[in-house]
Amino acid sequence: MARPYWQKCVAHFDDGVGEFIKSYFGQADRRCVLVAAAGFDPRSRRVAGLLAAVLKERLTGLFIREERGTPDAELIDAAEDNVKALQADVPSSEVVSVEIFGNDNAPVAGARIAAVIGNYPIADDVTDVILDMTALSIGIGFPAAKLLLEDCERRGTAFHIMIASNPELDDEIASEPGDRPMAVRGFAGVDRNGSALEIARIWVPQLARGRSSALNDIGRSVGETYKICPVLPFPARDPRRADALIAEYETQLVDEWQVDPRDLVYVSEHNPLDCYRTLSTLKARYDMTVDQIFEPSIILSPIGSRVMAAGALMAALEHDLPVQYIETVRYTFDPNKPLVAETSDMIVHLLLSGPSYREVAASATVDAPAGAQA
Amino acid sequence: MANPFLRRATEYIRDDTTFLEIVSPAPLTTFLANHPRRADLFDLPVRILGAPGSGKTMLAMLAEFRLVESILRDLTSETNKDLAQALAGAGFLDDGKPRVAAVRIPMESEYRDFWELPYDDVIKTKLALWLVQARTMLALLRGLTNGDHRRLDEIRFIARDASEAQLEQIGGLTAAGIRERALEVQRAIYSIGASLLPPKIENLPREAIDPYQPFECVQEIEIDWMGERLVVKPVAMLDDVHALHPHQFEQMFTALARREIKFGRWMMMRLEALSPDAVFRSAKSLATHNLQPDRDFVDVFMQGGENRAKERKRFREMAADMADRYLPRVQAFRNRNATQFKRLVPDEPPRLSEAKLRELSAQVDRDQRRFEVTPARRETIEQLANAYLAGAQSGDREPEVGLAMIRILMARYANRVSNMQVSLFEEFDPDPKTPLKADATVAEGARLHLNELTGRPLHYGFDTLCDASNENAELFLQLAGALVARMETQAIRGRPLALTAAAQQDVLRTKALEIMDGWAFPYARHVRAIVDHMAHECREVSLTANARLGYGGNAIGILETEIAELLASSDELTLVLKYAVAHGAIEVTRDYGQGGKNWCLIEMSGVVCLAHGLTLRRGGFLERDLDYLRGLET
Repeated sequence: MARPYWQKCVAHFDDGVGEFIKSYFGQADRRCVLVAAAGFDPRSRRVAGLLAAVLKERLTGLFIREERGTPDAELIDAAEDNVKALQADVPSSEVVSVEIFGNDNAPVAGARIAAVIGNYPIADDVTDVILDMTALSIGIGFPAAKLLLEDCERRGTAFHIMIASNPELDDEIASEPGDRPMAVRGFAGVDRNGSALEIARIWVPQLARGRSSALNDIGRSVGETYKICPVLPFPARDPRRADALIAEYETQLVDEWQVDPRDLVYVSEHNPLDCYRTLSTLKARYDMTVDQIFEPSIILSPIGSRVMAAGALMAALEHDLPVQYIETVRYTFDPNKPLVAETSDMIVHLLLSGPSYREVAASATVDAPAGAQA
Repeated sequence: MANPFLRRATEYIRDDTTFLEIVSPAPLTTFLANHPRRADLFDLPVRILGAPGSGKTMLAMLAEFRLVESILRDLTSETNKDLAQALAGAGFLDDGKPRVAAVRIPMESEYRDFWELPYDDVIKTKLALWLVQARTMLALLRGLTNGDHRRLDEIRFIARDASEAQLEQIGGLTAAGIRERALEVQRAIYSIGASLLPPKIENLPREAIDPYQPFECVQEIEIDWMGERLVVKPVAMLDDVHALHPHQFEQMFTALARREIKFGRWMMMRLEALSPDAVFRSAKSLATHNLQPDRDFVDVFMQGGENRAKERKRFREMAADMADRYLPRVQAFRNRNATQFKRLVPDEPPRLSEAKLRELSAQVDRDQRRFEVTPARRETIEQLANAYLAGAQSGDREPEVGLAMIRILMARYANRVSNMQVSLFEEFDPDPKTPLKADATVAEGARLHLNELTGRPLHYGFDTLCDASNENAELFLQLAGALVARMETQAIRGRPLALTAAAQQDVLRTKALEIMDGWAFPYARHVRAIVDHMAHECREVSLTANARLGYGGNAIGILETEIAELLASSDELTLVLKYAVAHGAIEVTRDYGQGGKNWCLIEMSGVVCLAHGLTLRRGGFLERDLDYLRGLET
């Protein structure tokens, strides 16, 4: 479904999010459902806390606990603490465990979360559904977003995405990838097998620290590509982050993928709309360029920062782009270890559907942060 | 400038010409042409098993009709001639013309997703199986019409006898009809698999559930080949079938193993698709669902399927061929007309400096006193070592090797006479009950000791590079790529390209550590902890003064009875070990008899041996038990 109003998508950042929550969710007729992760990630409570403070008993929660094999004991303890805190913040909530891997260790998160969301009753008086993507993995977050968005569009209710992002903290969380790259459930893209033209694929991997092996495997599963356009965070809180990633991925960029430096895609680390608009522009231009010559296909792999992933999610939903990823078998993170550099979370809010667009679409302004390309 | 050696995966190569320039025909000859069941490879179902990077996908890509046709249409190039010869040897050609039309069908996780649908197993299997068949037919037609060499109406399918009744379900025997029906089936099934919320069973589209069995109906394809009619046999090469659920695989495999099917069907998979028991290779575990290997299907092992010494020798030839093809693609080598990779990694032994040799000699003298070896006995031992080195085949017969051998033999002597009664009146210099022997094991042990004592390089030379790759083409290219990068630096500095033993060891060790640091597969962290600990212990024991493990150790042995018990259990350790084997961190040798006991050897892979300075010779192991492994896991 085309969603032209996303060109003027309502978005808020940092302090603006707090103000938006107070003014918008402070309205007494707002009844909200929050879908969020209940994992070890210390940021898990952030969005729920902000919402619960304003909405109080008008907030209902569905907290997803991603179950992966045998995690470290400290991570289980951290997750338990987060669950307790989330339930204290949102008393009217339930915690659902979702197995990420089947009994053959194949990733099945997409099918399982679809069943959970599909069977979760959303009351008729609910006015807003909020998906907190902060700590949800792509395999859970993307299918959940698609199902919730489609449901909200059917009902005419508002659908929000919120993220508490902290790239420095992301770097501290190491992940052990699985061995089966695959399309995110519901994001397999258009079937192009019947095309009379040769398919020319562009793969758009989002580079993230410590994920080169996973991206390599994903790239292989994509198969023959016409071009590879890695996505780098810029502008970013650490202005050298993109450079550091280029250095880390030297072997892939130069030897394996043979990326033309002009094909690097820079998107804001803070503003998901920048990523969405850049990918949409790439799609439009590529379609136009190869029209009648090749069958164009753009494949996204937004592993890493959730903010950039949210932009990729919007582009994938809007243009029916396939999203290829690799599930994480295990995370390694010491919740008690202080960060190398103490940094604050950056909060982002996106409004993806709802009555507001009917009323304010024309006048909606994007409250972009300083330095970000709105 | 890109280093082609480091472009590991053939999937990243964007055009056929480049692919053909660098692809080595050796796997075709090695794994297919010389296979004892070569004649049945296109009739019976074939399972091609190998670790990641063993060259399964490259083999499948090379065998595709599209590439076979482009090779045969230009036999002016030597590369294409070699490839054509190898293809003919493997049975893909007959009299210089294609005999089969093969297509590679990647079995992405999408097929596994069908197993998550809320339907009966039979329906789920049917959907996946029909989708595979529809995609195979579409890929076949794409391959046959590639490059506009023939039109769709010049292709005619030939039905198997007694399959007339099924022809309608596959769209008839014309290429256009078959294409249309395959597209219809594909679209209908794809929409079910790709949906987030699958339709109820009663709402499944008819196109998706109506019978569709082209593999059973089609026997051959008649095409136009350079002006004449040619009949070829269709072959579906299903790549990465390990992505399927084990039950799904069993059901699909059983369906594909039906004797009525005349369509060739190859299933390429990683070892990890098999159960831990099968990965640990006990022959009986290879049987599947009442189907027996060799009777109902053929297995092609791309690693570990035969005599290991023979396999190592064969891999060295294949690796040399591959490296020589890659070499001219690096400008520095092209400019210098370097065509043989082997010459750039010479196995010329390193030499200790005079000062270091003196230091070593003094150390051996000190040890002589410590072991209380008389000058006469030392002389006898020196004679033993010198006699061995004089007649040894090895190129490494430097004086320091002799000295280190003497040191080991003196330690062994001291051990062997330690329990003998000392005489009060004579010099104590008895002959040991078991006479001392200087052989290749002592010499190799001596080289390992020298590595520890003096830093003398242990790993260098082309054969070492190949052995460290564990018969894995991708790993070989990674290690060779690192050496090539160093050679390029030499070229820029105007120095000779060939690397000294010290430089080779430095590069190989650094690269091996980098590879291990980059391990990213399930349980990689556990596997790393296990191999690091094992390697540390093996190195320690290998360096004992008497080199009791001879060549040195690079494995641990667990009693077969214990391993059999473990594999039959659902212990997580089985999964850890399975992924370690499947991703080339360890190798397993079953039923290794020693000391009247039956052992399962868990050997560290070449990369681990490089990183930890262990011998690449096989056989030296430490006796351990399962509790030891469990202790390492945590």
